[in-house]
Amino acid sequence: MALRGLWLISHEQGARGTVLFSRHYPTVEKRARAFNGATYIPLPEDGPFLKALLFELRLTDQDKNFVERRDSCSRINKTSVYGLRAEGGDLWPVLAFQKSGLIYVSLPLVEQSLKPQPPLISISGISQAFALLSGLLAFMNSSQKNDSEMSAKVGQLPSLIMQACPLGTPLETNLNGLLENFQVASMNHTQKQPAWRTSTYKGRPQVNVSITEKVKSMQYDKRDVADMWQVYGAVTCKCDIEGAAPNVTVSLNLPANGSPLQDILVHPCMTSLDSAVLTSSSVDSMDDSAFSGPYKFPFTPPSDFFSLCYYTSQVPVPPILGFYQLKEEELQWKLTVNLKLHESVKNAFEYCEARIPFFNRGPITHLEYKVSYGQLEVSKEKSLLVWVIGQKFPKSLEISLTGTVAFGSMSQQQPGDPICSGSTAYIKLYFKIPDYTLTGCYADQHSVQVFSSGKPKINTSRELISSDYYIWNSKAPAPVVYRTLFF
Amino acid sequence: MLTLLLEFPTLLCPDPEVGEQTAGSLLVAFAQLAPMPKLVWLRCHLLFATGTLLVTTDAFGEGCRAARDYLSLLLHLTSDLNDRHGGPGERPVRTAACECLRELESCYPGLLSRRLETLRSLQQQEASPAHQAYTLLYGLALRNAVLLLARRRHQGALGELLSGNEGLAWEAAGELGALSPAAIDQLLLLPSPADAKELKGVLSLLLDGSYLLAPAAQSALLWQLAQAVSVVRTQSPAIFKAQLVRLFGAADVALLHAILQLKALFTDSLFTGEDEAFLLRRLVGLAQHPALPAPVRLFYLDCLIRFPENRPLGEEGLPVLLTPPTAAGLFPNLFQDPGTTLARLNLLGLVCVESEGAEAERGAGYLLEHVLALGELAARQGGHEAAGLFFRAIFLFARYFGARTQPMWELTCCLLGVYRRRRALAPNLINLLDEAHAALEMPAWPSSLARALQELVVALPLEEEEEEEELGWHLKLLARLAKESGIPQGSTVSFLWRLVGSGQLGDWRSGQALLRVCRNLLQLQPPPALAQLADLLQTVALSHGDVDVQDRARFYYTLLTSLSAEKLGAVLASGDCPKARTLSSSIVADSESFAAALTVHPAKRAPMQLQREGPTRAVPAAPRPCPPEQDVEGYCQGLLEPGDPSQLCLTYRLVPVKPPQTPLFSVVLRFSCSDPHYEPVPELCVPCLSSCRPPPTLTLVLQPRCPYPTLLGVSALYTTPAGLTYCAQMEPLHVAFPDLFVPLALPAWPPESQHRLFDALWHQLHPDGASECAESFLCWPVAPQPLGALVRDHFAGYLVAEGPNLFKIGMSLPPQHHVLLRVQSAEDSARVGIRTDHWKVLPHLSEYLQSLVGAG
Repeated sequence: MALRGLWLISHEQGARGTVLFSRHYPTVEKRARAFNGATYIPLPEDGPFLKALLFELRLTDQDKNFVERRDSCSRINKTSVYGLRAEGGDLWPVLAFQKSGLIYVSLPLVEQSLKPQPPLISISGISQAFALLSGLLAFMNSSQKNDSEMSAKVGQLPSLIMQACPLGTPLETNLNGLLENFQVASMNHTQKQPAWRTSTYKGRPQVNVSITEKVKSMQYDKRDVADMWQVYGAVTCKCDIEGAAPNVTVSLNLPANGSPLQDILVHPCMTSLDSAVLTSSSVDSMDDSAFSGPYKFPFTPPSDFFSLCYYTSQVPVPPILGFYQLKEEELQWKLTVNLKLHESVKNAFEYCEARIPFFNRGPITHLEYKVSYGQLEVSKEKSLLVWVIGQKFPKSLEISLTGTVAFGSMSQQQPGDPICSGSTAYIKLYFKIPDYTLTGCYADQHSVQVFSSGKPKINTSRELISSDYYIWNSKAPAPVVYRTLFF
Repeated sequence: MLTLLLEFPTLLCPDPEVGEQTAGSLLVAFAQLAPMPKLVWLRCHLLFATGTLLVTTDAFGEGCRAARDYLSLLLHLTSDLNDRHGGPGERPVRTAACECLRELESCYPGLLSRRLETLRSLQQQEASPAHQAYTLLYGLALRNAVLLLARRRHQGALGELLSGNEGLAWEAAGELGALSPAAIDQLLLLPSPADAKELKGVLSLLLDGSYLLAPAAQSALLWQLAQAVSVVRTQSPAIFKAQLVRLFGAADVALLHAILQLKALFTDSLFTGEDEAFLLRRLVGLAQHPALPAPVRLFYLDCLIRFPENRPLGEEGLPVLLTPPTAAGLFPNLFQDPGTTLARLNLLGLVCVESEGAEAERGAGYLLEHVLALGELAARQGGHEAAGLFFRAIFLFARYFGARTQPMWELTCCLLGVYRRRRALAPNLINLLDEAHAALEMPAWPSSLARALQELVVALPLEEEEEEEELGWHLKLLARLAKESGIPQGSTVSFLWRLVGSGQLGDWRSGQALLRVCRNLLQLQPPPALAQLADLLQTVALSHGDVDVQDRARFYYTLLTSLSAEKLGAVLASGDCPKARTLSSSIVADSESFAAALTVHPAKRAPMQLQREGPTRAVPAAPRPCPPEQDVEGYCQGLLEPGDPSQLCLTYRLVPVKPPQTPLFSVVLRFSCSDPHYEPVPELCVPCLSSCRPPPTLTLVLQPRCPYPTLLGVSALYTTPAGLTYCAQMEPLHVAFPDLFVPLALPAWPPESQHRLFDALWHQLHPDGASECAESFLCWPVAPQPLGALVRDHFAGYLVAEGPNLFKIGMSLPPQHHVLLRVQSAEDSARVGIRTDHWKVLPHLSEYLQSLVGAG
């Protein structure tokens, strides 16, 4: 249930790593010695620790072709948990993950012998380490723009960790929340205040609920490969309400033809949850009897912004269906793109464009095209066509682009991609539709109930954003991402 | 300073006394700090540092004043509930005090077990967010108290325990970390119904308020309470039921993990079959949930494999409910990071191999397709990351589907294709062959892969100029393939022939690479294509451009042509594994000093010396028959004729140096001449040298090329009873000029004839300018009487004839020179006439003769 150590390491590609912050917990270390017995491996100093970690993460000897201990095919890491070579044996289980040049590392206490290696699921400290590192990651990545901001954040870590995990047992993992904790409000003693609700709001009550849905798609226009599209959503909230522990209920509604929300994950501030909310899962085969709302979430809100819930959904059709054909004909490439907006989708975009990249080729030297709608632009690097569709599809809801392209000789400046070789190619759609969700999910004035004095001001919003929306060249092989075992 | 004390306390305070003193000073510092908002964090820091110091320096105990003061301070601080005295500004200090107490209770389980009632009342009354710290403290104390009670088998006292309001259980300070959750399934507690009811009340209250805690703290509390409940047999785990739905839905990894731990602990007493199915599906959903970070998804994938089933079929293995359709969303794809790809490949491989039916078959097909796609990427992209991913994917796939011929054949083709495009992947292929051999129960596939690779490499055309580096990869791969006994190696040898013939193996590196293949072929039992291989080696030995390569090829050729196959394998194996070489050496091999025993160690001083024994003896060149007296001239000629070069024999005794050492064995003396006037001196051996035995006599046979005095360097090589071999330099041996004197082979004639013989010799050595002969004179300031003694002392063996006041002396100097001395006394001195047939000895001779009178 505790951590033996915590490290934040910076590692840029090609450079040596530096320990930005580290914290050892000697009392936990002492317990580790007692619990692990003969299998105890002492915590190395930061220098050797860093070296062993970078080796294990395969971040050293980048220039060498094959290093047995690093590249042997039997050394397979299936989790983010590593055994680091240390004096006396392997230091395990070191949890480490990398994000934007930083490595977040922690070593949880294992309250038993390490031989045989116990399964991760039986080590209580492992999820504590996950939680604390995730909090640390969220803190480091929140509104961080440059190096000086990062070093300012690193400078705050000692005092934050002193609150979040003073003696090795994580007490709070939301480091951003701790920052606000510096001004502590006095309290009335009638009701227990949640530990995460550190400061209390004074002023006019106000609740913001916003739903953001993202849609992914892989379209192949092939008979033997199934197209894939997936929607996932996040509902974020900010509740400015007086009181130590106000109760709020937010309901998410679906219209009659809406797609049920699946795999719902809720914020831990939830006071209770109706089991029906959780029944629908993407793992089940189509279940028509699935619960379709309203999804009620009763909670006591934290003081700052928080993600009320996440969900996924399976909608019957993708919002934009298209095909892309790219063929070589006498030194020129002939391309055809066709996009069709589904009639059920709101035809009012904030932006919509299709990007047509050409990898592993020279610069575009010749382009002839015809678009039925919008404008086509060539990027500065001459390796990308951008088809700007704008705010609306035409009445027919269908648009097309045809043309021929020729490329110069291959050069270093042109982008490469391992997947897009030969005629394997894709177009990627970028769009955003405000005040719309694909599932139909919405929250309105009536869906927020606040059990406290004063009628709160309620703001709701929703939007749909594309994310990884690919349409593959149907005239060439394409990578399959979704496998179905049913035909 | 405080940070140092907090993180590295034992560096600053190495023993309990210093720890106690320092902790005492920190407490004094704490007492002096006023409760001001500015100083809040410093005071918290002081509390944390003091506790850390007391625990890690082992100072903590009832006898330690600082520990007692510290605990009463903590208890005092925690008793100020709801900011009553200190106000909200003091809340962090109270929280810190709770946390310090919790850490002490963690390190010394049971320390607070007699104060449960106090802790409970604090926990219930506190309403500020600090209640989390009080709840965690109470939860841990409760868990420890229950577990310790169960361990002591002290039945029925649970009620007392819960209402305990006494002092501290200091005796707990002796039992560090004694409560491992791994051992709780052996504990058992059967409280009375009333006690059980009270416990249930306590637990319900804690659980009902648990949603008020931060997720990490919540999960810790749940796990502590779960452990307590698990030992109290009368308490149903259903008490957790009310929390489950809330926890099922939580996005936080710590909370979901808490559920899985509850599941593992209580199985079907808390989770029905339906719950289990739901949890598993949920876990599958979470393992692919786009809202979760990749490391957490990987953790859930790992939890899926280790899913705690209510009724597990075996120790390990997948949950029965995880079927191919359930896991269909977890197929890997090309857009994922390597960790996710491998984890998913592993899971789906397990799922498909453990299931039957069309779905599992189709799943396996998808996995194969994915691995093939990774191969395509590795071939296109290069770099060790793509290659690493591909080879690991193959390894995983082969582990599950290695026995299926068709997909494995496709993989083989894919590997061949990849190798054709990326020769630099040879080390990965070699590693794959080795690992697959080791991991697969039936290594049919690695063998067939090896065969296919060999066929690929040997069929490569050599006309086009191969890059030297690429050729190196081929040879490296062939060297590994040459270890495979299952594949016919004749074609490898033919390929090597072609290679040698093409003249592309000019340098040392490629020559060595070629010979490494040969060497591995030689080790095969039986070695393949013997005649061809021998020819190849001979050709390389004769024609390769590099001498080192030639030598090694010749060596292999010699081994191949002179040793039996079995011995050949054993000899060549020596480089890799000394144990496999000979069984008889296993005793030595097992001893730690194996390497030492094979090394010659230098010794500073030799533990022995050579002592000269007796005069020089000549080895007679050839026995001469006694000639008739008249033939003086003839005999004289015979004496002076160059015959077989004669040798010198110097006798020495080899004496151990004092103090007497343990016996030495196998003493070998080696001599080195300091100048070119002597033939190399053969070494001498003494089997054993011990102070208990008479010193052995050694005869040193010298064969001079010129009769000059010299110094002989001597080194000794010997073995001690410990089995170590040493080498030491000994004092050099001085071969003096008189050591070279050898008596003339005189016939047994009467003195008259001897005189005539000497005169004839004297005449023969007359310097005539043409030959090397020379004459010299010397004067000894010696009176006639002492002269006789002098001559007899030094030249007794060389006296040819003697008259009144006249001595005629003759000796030969090996190899074939002579010296004649005619010493004639005249009044107070003696005149020494010298004739020799090797004028270069004159300086040595006169020096010697002078030294005789100087010494006298």
